[in-house]
Amino acid sequence: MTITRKVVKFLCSVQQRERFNIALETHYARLYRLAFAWTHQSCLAQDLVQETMLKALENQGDLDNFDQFGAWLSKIMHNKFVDNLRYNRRWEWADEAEVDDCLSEACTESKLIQSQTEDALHNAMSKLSFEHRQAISLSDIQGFSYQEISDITSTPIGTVMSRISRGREKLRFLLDKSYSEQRKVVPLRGR
Amino acid sequence: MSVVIEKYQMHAYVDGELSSPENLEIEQLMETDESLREEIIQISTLKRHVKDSYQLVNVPPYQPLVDNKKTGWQLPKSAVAALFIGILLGFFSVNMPFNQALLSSSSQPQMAEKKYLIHLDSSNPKKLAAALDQTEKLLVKGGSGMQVDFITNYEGVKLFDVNNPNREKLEGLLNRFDNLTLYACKRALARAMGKDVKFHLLPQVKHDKPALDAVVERLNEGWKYIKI
Repeated sequence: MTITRKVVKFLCSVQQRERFNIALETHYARLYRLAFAWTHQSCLAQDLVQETMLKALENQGDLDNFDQFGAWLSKIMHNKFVDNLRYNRRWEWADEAEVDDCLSEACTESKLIQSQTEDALHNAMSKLSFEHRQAISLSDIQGFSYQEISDITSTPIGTVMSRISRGREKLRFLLDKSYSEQRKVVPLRGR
Repeated sequence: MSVVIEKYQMHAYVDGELSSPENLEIEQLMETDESLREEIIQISTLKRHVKDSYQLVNVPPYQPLVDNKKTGWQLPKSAVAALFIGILLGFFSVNMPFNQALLSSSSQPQMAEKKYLIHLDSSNPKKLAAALDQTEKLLVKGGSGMQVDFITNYEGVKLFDVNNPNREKLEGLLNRFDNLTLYACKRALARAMGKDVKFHLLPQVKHDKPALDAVVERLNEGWKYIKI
């Protein structure tokens, strides 16, 4: 009986790991888009996703419910991002405003991408404070509920509500500003 | 008395976060209040715009990760099935202690334990010292069959700078053990160069790929991963 139990346990763990790897692959694109929305730099987003996935592998035993896989991964990524910025000073956290300026400064790679696409929305998003950007991206890109966002970011639900509302209002303002600047017509010379 | 709908309530309505009576109240008001209706439409449009815009982001190809922490092996299904049948057959034909020995030896792969990947991403002196100690310990314990790759990224790449105080110890290890390989993250170096920080890497350090790619590669090959 002991051996049979061991074999069954072993088979279950192999099956569980396979399931875990499939879930990781399924969530990869969504996770990358979220990381990109937070960092607006392709290289940083890649690092963040890879670190998140490694951490998830290390702690896969902590996952109770596969239905919560997306929220669980997002929470790991949130913790990684905040740790990297605030504590390890890996990405040189100074204060919220400075970090947002720093994050909106593109690296060479993303400068190239940006020059090709010039996406007004991404530019406007990168100018929001991280808290606003994070709340909006978790809600609009990932489709999490306010309660789930509150759990992921360890923030009261009222704060989540306020961040989403204020963040979107600021985003609208920035987009309107950007569109009105784009509408300014450069007069033709030599008429 | 006119009811005032706050901004946060409008956003919560669009996000489907209000209760049924609150939803009903807003919907009834929208029938008569054109500005409220316009506001709700604008918020909904913005929400959709955010979602659509990030859907267009170019996602780099997925690189599967393999967890080798527990078994060190990624067994194919057929191998697992064969192992299961083999153990059952053995269980009915041979005595118990032998079976137990077989099972315990098959769940403790020997080869994978001979390959270690040490990953350091910090320039914290305590972590640097711990990483070097761990490397030395593994190399001494493992003998010639042992293979150790030492990978650094972020601030960790400073360990491989020629001016690092640990240089002597590191070079000592390299001289003693030819089964030790050092890697510095290509991306971390490029990023540091972008900030005008000059690194003079030890000549023995390889730096042809990003650290995380190297980590993933090793994990796929069945190496044990140690994060310092």
